[in-house]
Amino acid sequence: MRRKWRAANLGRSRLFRRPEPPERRLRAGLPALHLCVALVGAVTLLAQRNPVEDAWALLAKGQRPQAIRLLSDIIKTNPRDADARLLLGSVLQEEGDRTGSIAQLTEAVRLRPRSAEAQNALGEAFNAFGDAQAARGPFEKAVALDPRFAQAHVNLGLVLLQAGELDQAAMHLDRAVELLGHKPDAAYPHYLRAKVSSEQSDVRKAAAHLQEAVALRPDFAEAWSDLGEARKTLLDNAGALAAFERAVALAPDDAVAQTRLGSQYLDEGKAHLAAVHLQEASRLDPKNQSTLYSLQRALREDGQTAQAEAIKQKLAELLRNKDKDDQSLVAGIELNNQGANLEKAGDLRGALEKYRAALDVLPGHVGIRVNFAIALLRLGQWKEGLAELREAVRREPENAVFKAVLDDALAQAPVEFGGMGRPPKVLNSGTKY
Amino acid sequence: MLSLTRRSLLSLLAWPAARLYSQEARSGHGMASRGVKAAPRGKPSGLPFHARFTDVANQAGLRETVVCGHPRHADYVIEAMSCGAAFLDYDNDGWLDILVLTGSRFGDPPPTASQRLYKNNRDGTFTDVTVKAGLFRTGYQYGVAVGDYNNDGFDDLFITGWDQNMLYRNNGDGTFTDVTKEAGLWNAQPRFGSGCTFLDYDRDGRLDLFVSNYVAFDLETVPRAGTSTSCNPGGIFCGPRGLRYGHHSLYRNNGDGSFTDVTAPSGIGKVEGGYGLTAVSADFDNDGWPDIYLACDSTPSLLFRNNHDGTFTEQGLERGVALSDDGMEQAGMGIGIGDFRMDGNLDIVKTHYSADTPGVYVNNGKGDFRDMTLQAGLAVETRYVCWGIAIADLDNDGNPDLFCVTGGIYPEVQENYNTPRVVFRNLGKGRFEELLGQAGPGVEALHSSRGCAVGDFDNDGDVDILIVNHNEPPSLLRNDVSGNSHWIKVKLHGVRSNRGAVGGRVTVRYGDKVQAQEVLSQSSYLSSNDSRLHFGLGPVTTVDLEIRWPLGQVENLNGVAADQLIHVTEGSGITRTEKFK
Repeated sequence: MRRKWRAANLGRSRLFRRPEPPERRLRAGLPALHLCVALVGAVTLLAQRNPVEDAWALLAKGQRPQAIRLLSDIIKTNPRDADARLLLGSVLQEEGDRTGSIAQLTEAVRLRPRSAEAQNALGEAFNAFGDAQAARGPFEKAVALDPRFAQAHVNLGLVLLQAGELDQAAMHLDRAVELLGHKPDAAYPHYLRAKVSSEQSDVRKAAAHLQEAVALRPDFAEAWSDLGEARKTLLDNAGALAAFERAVALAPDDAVAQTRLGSQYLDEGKAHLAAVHLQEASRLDPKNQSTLYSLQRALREDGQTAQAEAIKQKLAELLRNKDKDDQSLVAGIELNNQGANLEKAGDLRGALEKYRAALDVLPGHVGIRVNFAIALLRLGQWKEGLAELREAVRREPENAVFKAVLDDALAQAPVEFGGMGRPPKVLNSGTKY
Repeated sequence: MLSLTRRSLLSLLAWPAARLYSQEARSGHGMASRGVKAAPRGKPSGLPFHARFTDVANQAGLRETVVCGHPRHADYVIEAMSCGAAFLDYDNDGWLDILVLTGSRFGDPPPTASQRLYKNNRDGTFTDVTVKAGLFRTGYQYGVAVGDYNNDGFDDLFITGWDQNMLYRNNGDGTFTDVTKEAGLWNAQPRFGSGCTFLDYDRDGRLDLFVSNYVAFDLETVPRAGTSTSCNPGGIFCGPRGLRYGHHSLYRNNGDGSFTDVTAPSGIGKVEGGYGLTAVSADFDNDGWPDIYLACDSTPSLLFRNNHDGTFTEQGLERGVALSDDGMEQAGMGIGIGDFRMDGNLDIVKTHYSADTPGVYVNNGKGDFRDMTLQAGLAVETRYVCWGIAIADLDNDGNPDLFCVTGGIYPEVQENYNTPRVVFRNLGKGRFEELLGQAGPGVEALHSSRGCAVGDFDNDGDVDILIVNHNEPPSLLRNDVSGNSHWIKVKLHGVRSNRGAVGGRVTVRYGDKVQAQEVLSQSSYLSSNDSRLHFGLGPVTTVDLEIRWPLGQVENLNGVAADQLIHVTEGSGITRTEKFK
């Protein structure tokens, strides 16, 4: 029964959801755990438990708040109900409630320490909230508890890939492929395995895995796109073009795939076709440097000189702004740090001017604004200082430190400035960044 | 038993550095690297390579250390970039002499760290004549351009540095005079001069001067390594990213020993940006007018196209030489110019940071380039930070090869700080093959190198290599070519054109091949090569030459015998020949 559930789980997991572009997936970590996975698992785990089945039914009808309430009530009544906690943790994960989700799943794992599924669910929750490091432990436990748990091997492989532990990642992904056999479910671990091979500079092996991925799942657009890149590196231009065309046909809204196809056309001297796809890529991702670079070249080669010039200007501005941002960051922080040093040395007026100059360079840096505000307050410039502090809190309303500083300042500020006029306390000196 | 070759060990060591670098790049500082993986290597061709390089610097007398910061750390970017070198014949005796620049050390400047001029003793050794020649000068030096700016028949020197550049006039008696101020080239404000090249941009027969600046560097505002987290956390030096751009200048030669700053009217000043390093002037679009290509670190490289009216237009992005093939900035360090596809057009190879490939830009003859790095076979090498580069026929087989020097930049954090030299053998048809362990001990040796220059210092008919090593004496790689391949060298002497014929082009037809070269004032990394153009010819024993002088006159010389140096004087054909041993 459990084996059957696992296959179903994989079959309905994110593997068959529309995948994000591969780069985004790798950078951002696993996409959010999809409720369907948890629900199917939960249904299995809770087969004999009517109240939790009721919750599942509510979820199936889209009545999520009611389901959450019901599950909370169940847990209130029976805190040791691991099934309810597992389902609630998964639902809260979908709701973006990190604290609640992790708490429920952690408790579920505590109640069911031998459950590979529970460990895997906890790992997926950590990963969904961007904490791949924390996810690793539960995934490792999941595969230790059940070495034939293919999805857990895939998850662990991905976490290890992201951590740069390529050999270990390869081992788990290979194991997943072995467990899944020649089924469509094996396409995703093949795809990840190709990424490991690419990182290991083994492009031929990467191409072989990608070939297998698209053979198992011909609608796997990302795999087609990466296969095109691998073939291009192997100087198989015809193969690359075919793969890119397939990727774009499957995922026309994928800007990366459109850019790759357009660039391939450009390499082959088909400037007009290149421009069409690169324009589409640029529409989907207007600030992509690679796209703009190829697009301006394609337009120029296609004789669309004015359009090419406009794109070139856009690209040049993008590049310049990137440099300016870097330069401003260094200059602004350096000024701030000089201010902090002056403040510590007792030269408050000198510090104030440095902070002011730093803020001119980096008006969006809230930390520098707070330093500036505190310097103003320490010089008795209550009105300006409080205004700057309020602006800092407005920009970062979640920052408890900034809030506390504002509260302190208001407590000490004279009544005419809206404060409570309490005896002054020494405010912290400026912070270096 | 586990067997690790040196190369494989280096390959492993390269990983942490690349990963570290990626982190730096993400923080918005340091140098740009795309973090690319090496492309797979093809099967070895199995062809023998007939060049073998041995480092003879010590026995040749090149023993002065090139100082560049502290051996184990660099406080500022001015200590890390190091410098170039030149092969030149300053006394016109027919034997190449050597100029090696140097840097200094912040807070502890060695009093003897000076640029060094070594006179060729014609027996494989050199004599340090720095003081006698009037060239002793300490401080931070970076680039050298060689050219006869006053048309007196003797090559002069322009040397960039922080905080001042210098123009040295060759007096023709073995000495030089610092004429920077009287030439109008003294900077009122400190500058971080880097690339520089002489060129006759207005075709008036006098050499003008292009100078790039790397970053706007001020000790008052740039934090010292380890003292601030504002720039490059981790205790390494700050820059170039995060620092303000250096700006680039063009000076017109007035013909009276002085120059006029024409940066603004020429259009060079319109360009905002670019951490400029090596500068090369050559005619990329075959219109007879010299253009300028500037390798820029971590920012788009710049191509200034000559408009024939005293102005330039920057066209790097549209011409395809500003960014990588996928549109990313690269850490442009050095530039090799040559006709490695042998179609009569000048192609470009640019060196970059580790975890990136060199850039191979193929010229269609109209000055439009296509990035063919992958197709050329250079994407197989991403392990090293590459600096100086030359396109030169190392084994005289008739196909110009690639040679580049490598070296780490962060001694504090890079375990693979000292790395080998790299040779790519030209297989023909635009394809290269990296040679591993086949080019001699001089290539395999580990150093942190920067500039390099190619030239035949022992006049034996091949190409030797001079290399600047960071905080070590230079290397002098003597090339011993075996086999029966032939060669020809061409030395141009301008009459109406500038005397050194900088910008002159020689196109040689040999067998079924054609190859173009130009006399360059700077290339590689901030360095200057032997101005005698060298062509390997393989089995061919006679060649036809077309010479296009800087002012446009074209001369054809047919049926010229191989294995000699020919001196060609503008308007007079071959005026002298020299047979080497």
